[in-house]
Amino acid sequence: MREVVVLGAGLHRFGRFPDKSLQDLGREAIKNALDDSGVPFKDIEVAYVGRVLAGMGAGLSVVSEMGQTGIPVINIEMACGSSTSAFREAYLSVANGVYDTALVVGFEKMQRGMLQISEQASYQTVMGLAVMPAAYALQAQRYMADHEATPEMFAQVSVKSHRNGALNPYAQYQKDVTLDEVMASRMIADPITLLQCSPTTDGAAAVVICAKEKAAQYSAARSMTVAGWATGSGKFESHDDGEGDAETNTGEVTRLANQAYARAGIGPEDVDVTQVHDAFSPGEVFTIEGLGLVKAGAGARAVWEGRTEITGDIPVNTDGGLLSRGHPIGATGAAMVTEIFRQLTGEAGPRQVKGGDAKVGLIHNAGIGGVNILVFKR
Amino acid sequence: MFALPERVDMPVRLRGNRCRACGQPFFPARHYCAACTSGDMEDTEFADAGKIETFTVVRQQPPGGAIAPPYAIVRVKLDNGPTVQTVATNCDPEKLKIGDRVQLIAHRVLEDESGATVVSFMAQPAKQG
Ligand SMILES: [Zn+2]
Repeated sequence: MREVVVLGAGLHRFGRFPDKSLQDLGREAIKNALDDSGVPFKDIEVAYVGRVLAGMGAGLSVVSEMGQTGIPVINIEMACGSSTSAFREAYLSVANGVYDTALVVGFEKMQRGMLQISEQASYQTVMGLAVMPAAYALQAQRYMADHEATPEMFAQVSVKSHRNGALNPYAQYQKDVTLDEVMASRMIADPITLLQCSPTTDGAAAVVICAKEKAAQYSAARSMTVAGWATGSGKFESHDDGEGDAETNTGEVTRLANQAYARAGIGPEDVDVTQVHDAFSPGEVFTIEGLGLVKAGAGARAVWEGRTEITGDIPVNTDGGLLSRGHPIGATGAAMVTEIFRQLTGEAGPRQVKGGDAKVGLIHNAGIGGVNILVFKR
Repeated sequence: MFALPERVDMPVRLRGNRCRACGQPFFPARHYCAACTSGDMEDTEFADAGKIETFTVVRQQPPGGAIAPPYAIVRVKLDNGPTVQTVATNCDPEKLKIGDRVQLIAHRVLEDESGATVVSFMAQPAKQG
């Protein structure tokens, strides 16, 4: 397979934009990514679009805002992991020589309130079992019983994420919160309080990728290489309750991370900056363990001791993560790629890790349907 | 899901199946084994009791939910059976602990539009001794 590079990325700010259409959001993100990459839209050969809640053909209706060049526009859905799925498919098609340049887009407009997992009136829904925070809460309660962890340690994830979000002009929430405020916010499902839940968000993100051998013709002087990837849909473990809990299953994260590390020729110790799927604050704790960034059982303490801060040795969710940057489900994965691009190109400004010398970035993006891992090198 | 007992709040045994090839139990029943993909499945009833693996107290009503919060969701490992998730009833959700023994019972969830009682399985603390 050919080497593939990211040439540019861009966002529409995440937040609530009731007066803007999907086209408004997507157009701005795509324009920002194209400008950032130096690739004109007429050179884009294919677009892969991650989206969830929008209707039929939404991908084309957004991408064609930039021009009707006749390219294939492929709609992809994997719930909250949709746009890393779109990224992976775009990457594979370029790596395999089918196309030279591809556009990845993710967008979403969401309603306020708790996201419903299933549309069917199953007994789980009627009984109030199909509660997204509860999946994380159940695992967090067990984690606290098995390890020396406290609710404050999970809450600290949110404090850290909001601190980072305050440094990100594209974040939905650009305001610090204190540990007391997080702990005192309304309890949703023990031990998870309201400020430990990702918000509902409108937003869009876009990424331009190119075969490395074709990249020199574009003006962008910097890039990052797609070094590794892995995807899975939740391998059955005998302790499962059969409800396909891939999103919070650290064993599945480890299985896939190891595949991605092997493809990239690295280990977890080589990772300089990481994006994880913190739909709820315990997600960061479980995932840094699953990714092997810390030992099993050491995640909560690592957060508590500040190791996942921008200034820490394993910085995580430097842009505010899902909790503070926001979580417009179809756009989240492409936004993760955008932040890793800023970090590895040394353009993350006040959020920059490792003094601008970050070489390896890692992404974990999960949704109902599976987990995507991506590894990038400068 | 289970045979309806004579009245609600009586113990119930969940009906599921077990893979003949690898022994994995499933509730609800599956046509093919999630663990080993075998289609050789045997219907079975599971024990009506087990142990709380973990739990949480839900304090905000989810969309479509019929039970008023606060209520506890418990993940129960049935004795020699699968792990199931349900709501805890006939107890103070604040006093549950991981490792507690629980009994599955049939319990009223809601009355539907026609006035019929909708029943599901729930978990209540097991009697001591
Ligand atoms: Zn089997």
